[in-house]
Amino acid sequence: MTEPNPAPEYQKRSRSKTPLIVAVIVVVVIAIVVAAFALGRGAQEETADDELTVGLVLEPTSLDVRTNTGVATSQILLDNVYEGLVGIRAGTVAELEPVLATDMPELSDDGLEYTFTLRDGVAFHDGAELTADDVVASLAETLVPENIGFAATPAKVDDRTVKITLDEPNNTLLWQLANFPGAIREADATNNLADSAIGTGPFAFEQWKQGDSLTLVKNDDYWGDAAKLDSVVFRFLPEGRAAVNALQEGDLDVFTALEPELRDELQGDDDFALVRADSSDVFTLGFNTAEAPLDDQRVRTALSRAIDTDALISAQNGDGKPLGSPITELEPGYRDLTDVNAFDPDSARALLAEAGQQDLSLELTVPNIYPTTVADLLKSQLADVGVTLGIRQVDFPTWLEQVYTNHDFDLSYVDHAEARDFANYANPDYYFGYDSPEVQELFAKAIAATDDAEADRLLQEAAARVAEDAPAKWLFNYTPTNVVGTQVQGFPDANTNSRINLGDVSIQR
Amino acid sequence: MTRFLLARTGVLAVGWLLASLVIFGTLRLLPGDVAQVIGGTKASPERIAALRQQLGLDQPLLLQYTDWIGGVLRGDLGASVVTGTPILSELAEKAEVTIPLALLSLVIALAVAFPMGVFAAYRRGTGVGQTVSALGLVAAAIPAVWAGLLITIVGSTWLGWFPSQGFPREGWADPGRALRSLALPALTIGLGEGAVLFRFVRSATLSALDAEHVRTAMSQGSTRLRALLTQGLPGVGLSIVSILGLQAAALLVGAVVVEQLFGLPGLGSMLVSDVSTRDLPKVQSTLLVLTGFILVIGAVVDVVHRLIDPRLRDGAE
Repeated sequence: MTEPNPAPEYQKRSRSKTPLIVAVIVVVVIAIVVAAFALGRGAQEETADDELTVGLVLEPTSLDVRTNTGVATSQILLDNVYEGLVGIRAGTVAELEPVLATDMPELSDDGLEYTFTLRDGVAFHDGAELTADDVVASLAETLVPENIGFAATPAKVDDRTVKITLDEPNNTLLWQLANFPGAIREADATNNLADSAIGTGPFAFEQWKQGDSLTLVKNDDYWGDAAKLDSVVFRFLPEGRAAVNALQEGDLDVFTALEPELRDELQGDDDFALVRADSSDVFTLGFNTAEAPLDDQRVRTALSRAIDTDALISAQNGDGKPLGSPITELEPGYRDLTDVNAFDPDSARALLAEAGQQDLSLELTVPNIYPTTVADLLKSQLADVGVTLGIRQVDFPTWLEQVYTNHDFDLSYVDHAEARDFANYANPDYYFGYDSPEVQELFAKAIAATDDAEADRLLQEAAARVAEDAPAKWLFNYTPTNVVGTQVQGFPDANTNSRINLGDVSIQR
Repeated sequence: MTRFLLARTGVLAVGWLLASLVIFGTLRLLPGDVAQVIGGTKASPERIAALRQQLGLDQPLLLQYTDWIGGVLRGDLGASVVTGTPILSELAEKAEVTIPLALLSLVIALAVAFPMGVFAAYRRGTGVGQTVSALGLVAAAIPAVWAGLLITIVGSTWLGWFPSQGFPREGWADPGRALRSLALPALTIGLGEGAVLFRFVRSATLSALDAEHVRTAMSQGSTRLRALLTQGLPGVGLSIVSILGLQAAALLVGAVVVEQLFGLPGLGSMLVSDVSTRDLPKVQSTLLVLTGFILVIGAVVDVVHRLIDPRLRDGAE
């Protein structure tokens, strides 16, 4: 030490000094936030007048309609971008109408040959004209037994005529043609079908920002009535809360399938109508009928009677209708079967006692895409008849592997969204493992019937039989709440969980 | 220094390769695969088997790994098995949301943690100091989902200043709007991270106050505050820099939850949706890039630490 220590000075600790560094950081942050705020104020969202923004819960995994048959892909692409020879009339679940064909097909007397006449002047979005070759090439690729369960051979008769020949009569062919297997693609197109789409519909594919949105634009050269919207943006909002916020901030015109729990948030808001859309969605509690103890029909019946479906529907805020079989009232073969194995806890307890299963413990496998409200309620309802239900939440791919593919489960809870999917109950390899020769025979006769009324009667009979056998409990027919802005006109009010035909939708701001 | 840099790079490379093995292996333990997801509940077993073959999922795992890592080493991250889009371009697009989000969160975290931490330590033992410390503890314990909801209610529903969800479709074409849409999510991550950092700052400042060089300065006549600011804080800054590497990982984890909550199309929500479709090549390449990023930040922090800390310079070795 060369310098002498200065004498210690005693001074009051200063409390008022603020460290410079603090001030600098605080000022910088405030500056950033204020700048963002100020800059953003000027640029309010500007949307084209006739642009409709639709919020969806699910995003397509891929746009390839040959392999991907998810609901998000069909909601966006079928009807709007891709069309078939026949289609589903907008606003219905199962009524068919001619689309790329001029009329419904001529059917040969033996029920094996369907002849379609193609519409004139139909062009793909890239300008190429639709030909019989496009139709035959598309169908040859997708109308195969791995997709539709039976053999069908498309062939070109002349430039405007296509004939489809079956090995055996099957009245579900037209239904298949109205769905993914019937979507007509351009034979010579070289685009990547997984992330783009070229079809003949009223809207053309524009852009897919994965994880965010998909945009369609009006097809000015559409063969039919031109779309009333200039463009449509589908936004993907898996988080229900974010969807409600987006609606309230005016970022969405429509949101389909609002979580029932969030209904109250928008109830009474004058800017929106809450519309319950009819659907073919059946929330299904599937039983593994191939394994003990659920191979015992008494146990399955007991479980079915232990469940109070009205309470489940209330817990869904009313977003559902009671159902007694896998067939909803919008599909062929419907009969009211809600009184079969209806709620009756006393009889459930008696049946369990008879089967020697008073102390039953079962596990329910639930994909985590569904809220647990219903599963929790099932647990308490089953506890009431002495059945202990464990709930195992898994992600959807795990459900597909363990339940759907390996049949490794007791009970399963999923939404069977597909319309006209009764074939699952006539297929002993399906995950329920339900094997009833009688039902299989009735179903085979029903699809081979050439008379619609006869087919309907046979399906009803098969459904009644399935309801008695209880390979599953049909908890409710989901009627999802769609939130539709009052500025939107003509938004379909049925089947929107599978298809959203926007051909007639308009917007008035 | 050269030796140090070489050694540090070696550690980085080995760590990154090991991470690639862990990432690849762990993802293969997930049940279900992309062929089943694409097929859904309609596809027959034959259809699934055909898809599996088409996507190369039937190849031996070792071959799949070497194909992947070989591609990555040549700079090819591969393509999504679901959509066929190149993973690199997807990553670049989503990074436009996540990187600014993480940086903004970091600025907020530091702006909260530093002054509050120093203040709480400086006023240790007083009512105000105790209150600030307790607040920090409580804030660190709030789950991001809950904090996000509260912040949305205040910042969007009440004040109406910021959007509560979404990111402009045009991206950064309008920077003000893009920044505004990141404000609430960044606040959610930043306050949570800030509360964690606060405790580090506070304890670092406490030990600085007791450190001999600070006490020496005071004994030479400096006020307690001046001694802390001139002698103590450089050391505090140093210890905060050294934990920023760890915080980079925490910020990215925060982004996974918060991006979902605010409907932001960033890396976090992309990872969640890719896991749920079992697009494993995309998930593993994304994770590998993020891991590399975090490892590099860690290495840079080490080097910077060495440069600014006189005790670690070459002469001192």
